[in-house]
Amino acid sequence: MSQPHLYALSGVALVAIGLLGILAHRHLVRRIIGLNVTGSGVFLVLVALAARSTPADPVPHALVLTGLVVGVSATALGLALAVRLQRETGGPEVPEDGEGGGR
Amino acid sequence: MSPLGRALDLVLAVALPLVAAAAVARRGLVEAVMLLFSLGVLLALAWARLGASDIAMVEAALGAGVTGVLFLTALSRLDAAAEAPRRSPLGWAGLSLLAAAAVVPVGLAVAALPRDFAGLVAPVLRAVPETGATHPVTSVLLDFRGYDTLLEIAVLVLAVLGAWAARGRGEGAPSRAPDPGPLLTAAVRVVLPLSVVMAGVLLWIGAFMPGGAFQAGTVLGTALVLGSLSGVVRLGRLPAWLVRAVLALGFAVFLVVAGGTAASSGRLLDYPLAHAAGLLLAIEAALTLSIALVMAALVEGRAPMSEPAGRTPTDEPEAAP
Amino acid sequence: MTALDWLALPCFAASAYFFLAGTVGLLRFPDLFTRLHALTKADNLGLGLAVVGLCLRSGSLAVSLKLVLAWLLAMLASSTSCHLVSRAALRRGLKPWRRA
Repeated sequence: MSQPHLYALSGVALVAIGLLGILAHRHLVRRIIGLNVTGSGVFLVLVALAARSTPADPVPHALVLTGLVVGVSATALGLALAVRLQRETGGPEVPEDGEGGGR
Repeated sequence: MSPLGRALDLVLAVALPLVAAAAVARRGLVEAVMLLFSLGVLLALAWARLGASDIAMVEAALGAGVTGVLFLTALSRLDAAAEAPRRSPLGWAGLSLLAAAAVVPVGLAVAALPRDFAGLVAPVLRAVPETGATHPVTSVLLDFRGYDTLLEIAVLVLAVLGAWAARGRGEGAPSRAPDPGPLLTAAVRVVLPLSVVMAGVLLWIGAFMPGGAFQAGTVLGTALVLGSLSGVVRLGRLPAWLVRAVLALGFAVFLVVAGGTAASSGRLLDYPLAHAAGLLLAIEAALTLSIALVMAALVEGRAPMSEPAGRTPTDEPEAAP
Repeated sequence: MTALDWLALPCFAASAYFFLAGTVGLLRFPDLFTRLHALTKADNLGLGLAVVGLCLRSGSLAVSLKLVLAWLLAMLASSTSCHLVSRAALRRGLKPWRRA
């Protein structure tokens, strides 16, 4: 297996693991962790596939670069919302269906 | 590829999912967050192995730096005891199968991709001399895909506005005054000027080497965060108009240049070749300042108040645009 | 392999040993303070030896100076964070381990 394929499959695994984290938890911070892991997996796939060319394809690099910075901002916004949600409802979890507001 | 290089790649490619699984499945929330930072550090190594130096720089600053501060600050504001009961092992197994089923087709498709792929390397390298930079990634970021970067800066500013709105008036626990101690204060006084110089260097070399606005902005931003956490830099003392102006500066400069190019040549972001390098540097400088302040503002969390006292709630509806 | 590569090899081996020693200390020592001690000291030395090995192999003065700068900054960061962690632990009432 070539180096790009190795990292690309690792990235696909990361996407699955992050997805699992988002689905399996109700605590918002844990879901944000899962979201970060999934995002990192997607970036890894992009950059690994870009490494198949020599020199490395710069377009996916640029895409991932902006994606990283936007991802951090999204994480910050998500965490701010989670903190606010706890202040309003007493717990950092989105209420289940039937508790007033669906998922 | 040397056998040691292959071994390193193998170890990294296996370690990444393992650390990620630990971060997702770990019982303690603080430990899970720590594992997320470790994932960021390992990812920076992976970017370096894959030849993505620009990304490695940004990941090292953000993944283990700003992300860490954001999570830990949020955790300190959350009620640590409130954690819902975890799913049963059967629930985990079922969801694992679901996640795997969703992703296995993608994995198979990725594995079936050809080993070598020309991609867009040749067209990009052919067109790079027409831009103001010689480093291909910078050319792509600010010229070929400049529109994406323009909108991305807008997204960053929106994220700050959203975080400010979510924070509200901040009736929650008052933030503790920083108590850095002598060692941290001394360290920050060394690191902060060094970071400013480093950011300037990264900004300048971005035209011809890995570097540029994002790398410089994240280095400067983490320096500001470090300064604000240790009390050496007091972001709350800055006048509100200055904070808002610098936050908007990156987007504003980029927008003005984009509008100018669209008006003069009819094509958006088609820089005139004679001025391209200077325009790129101006845009990147403004972006650096804005990105740095975005990072600092996201960590700080509270919107700058122009008049801290004497503001009645009824003023707000008129003030909102 | 050139002569410099042969000189660098024991540096890398020693660096790996020190990192291993620090990690064993992290896993085996009884309390926070001893673990911090093992980790910070061993990792600083391990990083320094790795930097020496890399400088020998780099063949460029500029690269070597940058590597040394990276090592100095890493030492600054790790010693500062070690101090902060132990100070926070002491303030929370964590008592250093004593042999029972």
